[in-house]
Amino acid sequence: MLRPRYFFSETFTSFKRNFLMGFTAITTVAITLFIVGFFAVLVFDIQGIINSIKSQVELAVYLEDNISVELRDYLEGEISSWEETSGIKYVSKEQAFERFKEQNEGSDILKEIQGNPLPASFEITLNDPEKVELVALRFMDKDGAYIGGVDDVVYGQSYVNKLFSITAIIGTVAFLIIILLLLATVVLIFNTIRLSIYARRKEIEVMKLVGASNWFVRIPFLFEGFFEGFLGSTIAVVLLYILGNSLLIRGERVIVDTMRIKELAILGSGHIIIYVYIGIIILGGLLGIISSGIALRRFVKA
Amino acid sequence: MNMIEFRKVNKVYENETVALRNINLSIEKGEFLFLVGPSGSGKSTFIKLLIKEIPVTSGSIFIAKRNVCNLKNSRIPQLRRNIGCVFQDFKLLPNKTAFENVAFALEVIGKPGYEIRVQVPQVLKLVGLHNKSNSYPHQLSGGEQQRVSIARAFVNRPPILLADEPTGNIDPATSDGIMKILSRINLVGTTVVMATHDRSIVNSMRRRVVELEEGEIIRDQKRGVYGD
Ligand SMILES: Nc1ncnc2c1ncn2[C@@H]1O[C@H](COP(=O)(O)OP(=O)(O)OP(=O)(O)O)[C@@H](O)[C@H]1O
Ligand SMILES: [Mg+2]
Repeated sequence: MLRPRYFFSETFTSFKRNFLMGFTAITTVAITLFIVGFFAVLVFDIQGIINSIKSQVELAVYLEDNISVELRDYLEGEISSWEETSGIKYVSKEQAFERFKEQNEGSDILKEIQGNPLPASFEITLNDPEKVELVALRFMDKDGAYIGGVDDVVYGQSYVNKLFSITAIIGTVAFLIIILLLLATVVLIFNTIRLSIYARRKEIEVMKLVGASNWFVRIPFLFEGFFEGFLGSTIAVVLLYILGNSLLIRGERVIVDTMRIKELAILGSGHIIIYVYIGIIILGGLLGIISSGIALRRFVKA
Repeated sequence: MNMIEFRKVNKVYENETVALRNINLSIEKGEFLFLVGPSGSGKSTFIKLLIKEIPVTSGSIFIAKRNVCNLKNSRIPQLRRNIGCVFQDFKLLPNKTAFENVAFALEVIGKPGYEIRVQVPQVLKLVGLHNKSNSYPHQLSGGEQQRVSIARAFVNRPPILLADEPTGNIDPATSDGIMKILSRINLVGTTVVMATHDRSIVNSMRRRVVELEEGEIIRDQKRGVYGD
């Protein structure tokens, strides 16, 4: 006894006639999911920045000027063999000086420098940045002096530690915010739909008195809930798209230009924003239909 | 065959009003029965029990030999589709037109659209409302709403028709028309139970009359009249 035509037209006309309630539900879904989506993008971008800073954490091992090629090669081989090492790059004195000149172009400092005071170095990237201290210690002997050929090891310990604790806090806070937003969304949508069903409880009662089965009564409401959720989330996506392509994308461009970060929601190669859009629409539809389903249980029992 | 049977039925409402007291009654298939009695005597309660709008307090009710008191909730729609009911307060869906209200009774039993489009206008014509098909209940007079309710009750030709004061808000001429319709559907074998205050209708029809008073049956007459 599946009658899609009946249910479809029933949903549509009932929506037309209960326009105000439907409008409220759609607006609620649109606004809350828009905020959720907006936060999802923000959190993803922040996470991207953090990840990229994490992977940029380096260990610079400055070498003594008189280090022998053999010792240098030995060290390079040794460092490469450590499992913590994800990359090693040798920067010669000349390369270091070139870089310095680039960075300080036009500055008076260049005129005052005579010769090349910069040391050669190994720049090491780690696959787990939290191991940075451990790795650094390997360049010292038991007395705390640097091993032969090594002049200094630099990794900005306090900066690294702070970064990790900030990362953890931002991650937790963002997660909590999204969970809270989702909860608020569920409650708001659920209440709106429940109100619209409550307003029509007499109608439900009459339908049942003339012999409508529970499902016959429920289905138009479920359709309506789905339709409202779907329409609301589509509006949320459109709003997010407009905002994304005007404001957010500009912010991301600045991030890309200054920090060379690739994992961003809109500009990133992963096109995360599309998943956010799809997620919002699925969430909207599901929320609509589930809210209706739960709200109906009160009024369509027997 | 017994179409409807009440056995020692009592109904006490939550506020302890006793609405029906030890009702024992059999109604044959194809019978036409008037339920009369003063206001508050329990006529509507009698009808509400039959469609399980409210539960019995004690005793049992059989419809087509089936005890409906222990009917599962999921079977109630089936029961109601076999009992057309004209409610005293009409119970029309406010958001549906006259046509849609009548069509609804066919939609719930899964009748296809083309049958609905043929049958509904026929029935609306029968109750004299074919020119008000597209009116919503709030645009109709009390009598017109009542006729929509009647049309909805028998549009799917149920074996039992219950009518709670179906002529309550209707002028005598239209009432006669309604009674003709009820007689006609009774003639094709439908069991009809009609609660009414309308003395002249009862007297002119000469059918079985059951009189209630304070929830008790005080008279059951084969070819009765309204009473003294
Ligand atoms: N939902 C209810 N809760 C409590 N008492 C009720 C309820 N419905 C009806 N009653 C009481 O039950 C008794 C019978 O009511 P019922 O509606 O069956 O009378 P009736 O014969 O249909 O009257 P009328 O001719 O005025 O329609 C009355 O005393 C009424 O006050
Ligand atoms: Mg009554």
